[in-house]
Amino acid sequence: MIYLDNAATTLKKPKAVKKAMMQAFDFAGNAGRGGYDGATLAGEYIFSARERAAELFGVDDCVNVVFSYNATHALNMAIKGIASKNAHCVVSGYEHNSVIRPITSLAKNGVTYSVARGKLFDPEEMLENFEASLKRNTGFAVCTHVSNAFGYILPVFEIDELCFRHGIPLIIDASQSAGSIDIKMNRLKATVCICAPGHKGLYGPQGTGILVCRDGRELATIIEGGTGSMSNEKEQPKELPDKFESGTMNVPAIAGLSEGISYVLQRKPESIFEYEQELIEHLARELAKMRKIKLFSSVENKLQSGVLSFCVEGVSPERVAELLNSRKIAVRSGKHCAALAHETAGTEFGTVRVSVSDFTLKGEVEIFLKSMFDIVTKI
Amino acid sequence: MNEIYLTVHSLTNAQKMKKILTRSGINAKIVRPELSLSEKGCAYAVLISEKVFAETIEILEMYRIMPVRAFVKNEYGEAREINL
Repeated sequence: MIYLDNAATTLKKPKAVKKAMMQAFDFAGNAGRGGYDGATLAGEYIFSARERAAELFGVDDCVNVVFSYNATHALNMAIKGIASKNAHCVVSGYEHNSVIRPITSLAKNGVTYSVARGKLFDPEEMLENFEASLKRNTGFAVCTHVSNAFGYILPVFEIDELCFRHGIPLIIDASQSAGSIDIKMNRLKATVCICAPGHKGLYGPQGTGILVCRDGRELATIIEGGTGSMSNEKEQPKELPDKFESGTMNVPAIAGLSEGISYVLQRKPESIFEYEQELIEHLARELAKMRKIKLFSSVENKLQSGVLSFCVEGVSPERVAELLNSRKIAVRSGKHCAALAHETAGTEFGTVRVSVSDFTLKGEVEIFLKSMFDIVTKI
Repeated sequence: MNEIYLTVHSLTNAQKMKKILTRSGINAKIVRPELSLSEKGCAYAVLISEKVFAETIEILEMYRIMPVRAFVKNEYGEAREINL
């Protein structure tokens, strides 16, 4: 199979990921639940992952790295942990449902929100609209770093600066950027949380995510329970990371994630980005030559990550994906759980999305292009 | 030689402490102390030798990570709290 759905999850991982998972599966006990060797080993796997994530995301104290089940879980912790009753929040027009749905749920408690829209690949307009959406009672803002539907790199660093000037805490959804675009908490000013999946650009297994906090003590919890610590207390411990890590952790998955992060640290996000850009640039250039294809691209302006969306005139995105699947090529079609992004970009019928990773081969891209050429020729 | 139990509330803090001490050449081990050493229930302790106690506290102060309490245990397992 030629796998071009890396924006959903990366399929090919560094070999060390699986090896660490198998070792943890065979030998690790329950982290923080005992003093025996297996429990200690489990704790060591998690601590190693926490320290590596702290290094990658520029966090001085690794207690501010919290493990979650996925980016959606991390975003829920961040958004619901920060939102006060009746607060107003601003989001970009390119948010995923993992942002829009928690906020819509909070609307039942009086939270209101404004959407800062802006044309696709127009960061200046996004910045202007973001500022215009801020109100006197704006309590927080959420912005995706990269649109999962279009690969559009939003101006999060400028939005961070803007929020800082207005004294508004910012939550960044780094679902599509973590691992391929360097984002560090200690270089940001207003950002209080960075949320990332472990199973995409960090090359960990599915079922892992990370909530990076500036100071997690200020965030409320959304779940409480056993932490293996301070068990006489009925109240949830205030100490991090225990405050946010109730219940048994997925130790084998976190052991794998630790190796995925180690790979990214060694390879460096900028090198991964450069390689993915090379692939996406080639894809965009060649697809643009084909008839009936409408591309959503701004690769030449460096406003796009390793995600590329397109439509084929007269054929639904689902049909295109089906035709590609019959040739053993995996791409995603539809709205990519980001209806708001499609509404903002004016692509109500969805798109076909191709997304690459550091493990995508140039030859695989060529086979995809040849298949697309065949498909559009036969239409 | 007596042992010192430096108690902390969370495993992560114990791990941070152990890493700092190990890097500084101090032999440290993470253990689950008996509940009598922790009024809040299950906790963790970093175990060190009594002879490096003063040096340990100096290092931990430098890194701004301090134990909640400290206990000295003699060879018969009797524990006594000591000032930090």
